[in-house]
Parts: sequence; structure tokens; C-alpha cells
Amino acid sequence: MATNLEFIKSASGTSVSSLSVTDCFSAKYDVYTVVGRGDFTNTNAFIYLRFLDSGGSEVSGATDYAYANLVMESYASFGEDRNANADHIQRIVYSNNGNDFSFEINIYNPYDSLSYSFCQWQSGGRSSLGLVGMKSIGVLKQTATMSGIKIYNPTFTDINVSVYGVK
Amino acid sequence: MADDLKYGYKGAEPTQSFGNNTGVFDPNDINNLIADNKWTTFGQLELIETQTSTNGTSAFNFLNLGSYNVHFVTFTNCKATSAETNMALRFSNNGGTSWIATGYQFAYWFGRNVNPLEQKSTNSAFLGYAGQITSSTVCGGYFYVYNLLDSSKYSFASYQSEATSNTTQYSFGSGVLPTAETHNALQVTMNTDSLVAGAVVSLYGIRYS
Repeated sequence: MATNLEFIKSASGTSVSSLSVTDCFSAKYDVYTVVGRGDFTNTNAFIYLRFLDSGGSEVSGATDYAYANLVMESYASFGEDRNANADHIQRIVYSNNGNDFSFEINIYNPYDSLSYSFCQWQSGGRSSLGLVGMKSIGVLKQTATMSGIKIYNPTFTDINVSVYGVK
Repeated sequence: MADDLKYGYKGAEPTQSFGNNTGVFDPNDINNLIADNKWTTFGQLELIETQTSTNGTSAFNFLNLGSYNVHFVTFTNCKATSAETNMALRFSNNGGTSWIATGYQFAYWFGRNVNPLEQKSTNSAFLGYAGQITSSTVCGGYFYVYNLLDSSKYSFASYQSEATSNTTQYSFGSGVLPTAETHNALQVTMNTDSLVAGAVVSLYGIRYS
């Protein structure tokens, strides 16, 4: 029996404003690790995340999500960003025009119809002044089966996302 | 297997990919598909190398990074020889002949029961710090490291650690070397002092990342 990360699916895009990883969750795993990297062109932009329901549709109700971010900048005092009722999860990454980024997200219970879908992530991006790191938590406040994720908001010059099941 | 019976099929052969291998395979087929990243075998956290410290070890140099976009580094049982020190990373662009010692940017939170604090730098000699240790403190943690071998992207890392002495300490943060170039060797090191014997550092590649 493997006790490891088990590759499920990857997705990539160039010059896109969003990237969906569909049908990556299943009853086979309770916990998932997502790693991503890329680059985007917008000035002062955040990467957002939404879950895709069992039919592949975005979950986007006005109060469906909650999140809390510790914003760690290499050039300024740390800050916080949080919201108890949002229509998305915010600040997977902060980055600025023409700068690269990376992130890892751990996702819990997305396929379990009796549990909320939780996630925690860490990331690195860059502003014109230096590094911007995130240490964050988020939740989809629905007891429903989720099938995938959508990463969106800026225009990605390129983006690569891989999803692994944690055995 | 004869070409006209590739994967047991006569005529058009099935397309092979991870998670979708169809047909009958002989050992050569499997070896070729593994080499092409098209053979399904689970366990994508792939160990590249493990190193163990002896008394006085001040750096762990990993000169073989494989061909991964994302690496994962674990460090365990790290204990300083005499002074307070911090675990950190350095990169090389010449195969480990020398290690880049300027320009790293980082931001991390250092949690402890007295005076927790944020730490940051826009021009450091190290990427870190992940884990503060002393001669009476044992530390362990991990780094995710991104884009080392991608010449078009900055090399990032995010990290987390825990250390124990009289109290428990933890840290987490992110860092970057904002130079788009290939970094073909990785050093796990500390900003001063050295380690006693028994610290274990392992480098993994995350396949298909």
C-alpha cells in the first residue's frame, strides 16, 4: 500500500483568467495537497479560489465561504485579511505585475457530503517592493460533495496546478 | 513485443497516460512508459536523497535535484553544537561550486510563549529562517521549494517548523530569490554554528508538479 502523495490530476493554462481542476476529488481520499506555480500580469492582484460542486458548477453564494489570512511582507509589518461571509476564498496568492508565484493548499473533506470543506495554504508572491507570503485558512460552509476547484481573478501569463491525494 | 502487437493491440495502439494504461505490457513497455512519465504507479513524493549530520556539520549539499518543478525538504533532529542558530536554504547556479549568498527575500512568523515576533528581510544571505535551534533545542520542519530548475521563474520556498526546549517554538514563512535563472543545487544550512550528529535532512521531488 502506498503511503505517499498520489497524483490525481494537473491542469495548466497560458493567458487565461481562470483555471479549473475538475473531478479531482473522490471517495478515495479525505485529504488533498494542491501545488501551483505561475505568473500573472495584473497589478496588485489576488488569486481567489472557489469549489466546484458535484455537477461541476461553481459554488458562489454570497456567504458560502470564510477565510483568514496572515499577510507576511518582507518589506512591511505583517497584516491580516479575513471575512466570515464571502462568495470566494481570497488571497491564495498576492502578486504584482509580471511577478511569479507559488502555493501549496491542503484541502480536507471536499468529497464528504456530511462535512464542510476546509483548506489551509501557504504561498509566495511578489510586489514591486519584495516578497509577499501568505499563511491562511478557509472553509466552504456547505455540507455537500465537491468535485473540484477553480483558481481565478488575475490574468495568468501561465499557471500550473497539480492535485494529489494524501494516503 | 512485436510492433504490430503493441500493448497487445493489433493496428492502432491505445494512448497511454498516467491513470490510463490500457493493454498488455511487457517489461520493456513498462520501462519505456515509466521513462516517459506515462506509467501509473502511485507515490509521487519521490525521495531523491537523505543526508545525516556528523558532529560539526554546517551544511547539507544536494547536487542532484532530479527533474522536478516542486521539491520538498524535511529536516529532523537538528540540534546546534554550541550557539543559537537557524535553519535556512541557499541555492546554487553552478552545480554547487558556490552558493548564492545575497538577495534572498523572506518573511516569517516566529511563535513562542514570550515575545513572538515577525521577521523579514528584502536582502538576506539566506532564505529562511525555518527553525531556531540551540544546543539544548531539537528542531524539525519542512520546506516546499518551487521553480529551482525553471530558468524563466523565481525560486520560491515556503516552510514551517517546530522546536522544543523549555518551551515549544514554531515558525512558518515564505521566501524567494528574485532572479529568474536555473538553480541546479540546493543547500540546507544554518546562519551560524553547526549541528551535532544525528540530524537528518531529506530531499524529495514531487512528480507531475
